[in-house]
Amino acid sequence: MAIDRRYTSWSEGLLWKNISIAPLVSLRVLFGFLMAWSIIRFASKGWIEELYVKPQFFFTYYGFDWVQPWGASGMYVLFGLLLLSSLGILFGCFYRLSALSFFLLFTYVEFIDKTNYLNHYYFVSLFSFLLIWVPAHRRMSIDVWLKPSLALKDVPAWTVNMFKFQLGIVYVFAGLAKLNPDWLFRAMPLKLWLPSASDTAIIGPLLDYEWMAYLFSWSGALYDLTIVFFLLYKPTRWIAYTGVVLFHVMTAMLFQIGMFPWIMMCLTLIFFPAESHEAFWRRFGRWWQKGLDVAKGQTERIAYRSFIKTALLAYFLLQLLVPNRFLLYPGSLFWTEQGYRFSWRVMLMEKAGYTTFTVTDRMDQRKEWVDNNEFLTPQQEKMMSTQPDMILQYAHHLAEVYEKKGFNDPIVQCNSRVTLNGVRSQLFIDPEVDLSKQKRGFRHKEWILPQKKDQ
Amino acid sequence: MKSDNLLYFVFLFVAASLFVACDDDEGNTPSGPTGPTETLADARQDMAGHIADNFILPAYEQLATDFANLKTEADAFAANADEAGLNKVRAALKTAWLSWQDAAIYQMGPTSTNALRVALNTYPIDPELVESNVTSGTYTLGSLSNKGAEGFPAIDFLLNDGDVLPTLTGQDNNRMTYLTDLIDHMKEQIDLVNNEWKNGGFVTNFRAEVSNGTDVGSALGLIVNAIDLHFQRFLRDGKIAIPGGVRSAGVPRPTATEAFYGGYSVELLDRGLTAYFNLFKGEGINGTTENSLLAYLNRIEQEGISKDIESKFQQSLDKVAALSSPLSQQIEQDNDKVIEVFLSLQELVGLFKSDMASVMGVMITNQDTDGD
Repeated sequence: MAIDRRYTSWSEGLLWKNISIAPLVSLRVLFGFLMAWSIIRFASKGWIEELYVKPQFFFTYYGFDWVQPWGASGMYVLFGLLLLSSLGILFGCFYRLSALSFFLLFTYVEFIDKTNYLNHYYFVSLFSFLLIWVPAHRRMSIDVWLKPSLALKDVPAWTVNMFKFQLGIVYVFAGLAKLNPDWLFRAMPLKLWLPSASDTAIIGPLLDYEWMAYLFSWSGALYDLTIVFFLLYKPTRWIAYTGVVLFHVMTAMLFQIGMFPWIMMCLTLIFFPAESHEAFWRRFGRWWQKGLDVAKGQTERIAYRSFIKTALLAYFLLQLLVPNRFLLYPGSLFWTEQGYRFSWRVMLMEKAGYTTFTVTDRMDQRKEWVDNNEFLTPQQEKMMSTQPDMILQYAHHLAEVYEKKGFNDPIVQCNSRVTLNGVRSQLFIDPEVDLSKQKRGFRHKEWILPQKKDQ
Repeated sequence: MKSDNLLYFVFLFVAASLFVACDDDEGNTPSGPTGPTETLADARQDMAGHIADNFILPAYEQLATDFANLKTEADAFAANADEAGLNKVRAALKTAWLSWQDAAIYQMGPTSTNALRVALNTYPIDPELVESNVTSGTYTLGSLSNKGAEGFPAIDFLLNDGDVLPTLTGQDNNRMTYLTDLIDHMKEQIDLVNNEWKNGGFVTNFRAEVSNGTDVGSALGLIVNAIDLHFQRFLRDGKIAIPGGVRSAGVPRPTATEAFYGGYSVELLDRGLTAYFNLFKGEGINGTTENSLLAYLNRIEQEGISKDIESKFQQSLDKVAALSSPLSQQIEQDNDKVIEVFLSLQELVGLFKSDMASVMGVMITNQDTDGD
């Protein structure tokens, strides 16, 4: 009974204890700023054009074929709306609407083409989804400035803790994924990647040494697995945060991973106690106090509690299950990539390949070798070459195109060679199989040839 | 992988404590057989310098020299059109065209900013456009709409399409004027590009320390990507796949061969492929094999990949040698041999794109995108 009660009060505290709204305000401002910056960076590098306008074929997600780019001007409008939404989040202006539209638009863009899938884009989608549900705009915002009675001093703890849990999931799963023989005992793929960064300042020359790859692999795995716990534990928090900064600055220097390090460095600040955030925001004086005198405060609505509890439980159960779905498939995960995406498998493998296709007329056996450059951008070709679901999608597209060109019920076959983590390239897809007759979907793809490890 | 995650989890902590506990003395030399002589970044920088000094710059210098000679011969021929002069121009064309094969593989820097490849070697040409230019006497050389009537292939048409001596001297000399105009225009382009290679900032940056990484824009990144893209599009596809009908439902297009009128497409192909092979082996004008892609590969990967690439190059060259000239005739009579060359080149592309790029840590892409 005593333990039961202690658990109850612990979980009650985790969910319902009143804490300052300050951490939510910090999150809102940081996230809004980072996203606005990301979108401006994305546009200024010409990637809207490059990734969403130029390609003539897009690798949609199964079941989401209706997600299509909006054309050249449409895409710029879409990114303009995204920028507006992130500014809305940053300044707390029509916040709920901004968060909702950011989540929807961002996820839409990510779903246009698998080629551009990145774990940290998935993370941004989830994070913005969670932001929709919290009152992060009810202090230090334009919304409060317009309507002071909105101001809130305190929020229930779940609104902050669920972000910690989300960050915890990212790190721990990323750490678990590193516990594989290639990463630990062959220092792959870091053994291949580090020497190519040996032009980096200071540590550069060291990167040629093999032991550095082992050091980085092991300390990276340890970092991912444990950092969240050190951040949660008060005595180690500052050291842990210093570790966060060092780790992500290092990865930013060594690898081309864009905004991800900065996102993680900023958002892990949520692990600091509400009082620290409060102390920071208090400096803004008048702005921070705005509305508190007329605020109605939070009206406790106990009725919502069980709903919130259930929703949180469902969401995080899903978060725990999705990265493990690969267990349902036979074969090596890295090789087949069935269940690879949306699982926090970050920088885990060096995979490269070359996949070419032949299309044959089923009636008169006319045969053409497809020039991938005609249909795909180099980036799309590269991604397609090593990922079976993309190979299949592209094969179906080719069947359609060649049918229109006058090929009778075209047979589409591919020659695919793939190298994984420095093991010499080998045949990836059964070259005999007619891909035009294979169905898309979540079932195991029988036509992926098994990986021969000892080559 | 799979469910033994838990096992690794336990193992991690045991091994991590061992790892921290013992000060390891093993593995304290840079990976690869050459030992701790120089860092890989320095090796890449030396390679960039070697490629600039012994490949790119001399290739463009040679092209400029040979093309200047073509101009001299053509001017002499225009002044005094006889059979002997015509043969001299034809020979000079062939020499310059072969030199272009050595220079063409560096599709970057001044060559790509000036679109030299389009200006010099767009084929198949449009004979009707050439004829209408000759007849009208009005044309804008270097314009996009005229690119089907310019470059080496257009000169080839003017010099080698049947019995050309009477036509070149007839028609109020219009034809001869077009020929010399073409050559003058091309010479300007070549001299401009050669000059930019020699004196512009591109090479300085290419061989500088800032370019010694492997990312997009580094010297190695540029070379590997130029090899990848140009090899596929203009060597494999342009010289073999397209005329061989590989890209047109098996319907051969013999007139799409490179030197269709002169009939030495196979020699041009052989020279182009050899240029790549020499670049890979590092055999530049001074015959050195240090600082080559091959040596660099061997240093990071212990010879497996480089051996395969070497033998695939050799095999492809052998298959090219089995082709008879003119290529257009080979295509019409026995296209299987042409397809064989294509498939061999295709395998070579696969080795570049997967095995080589992967161990080198070079991204095959022209886009500077984020990863994770």
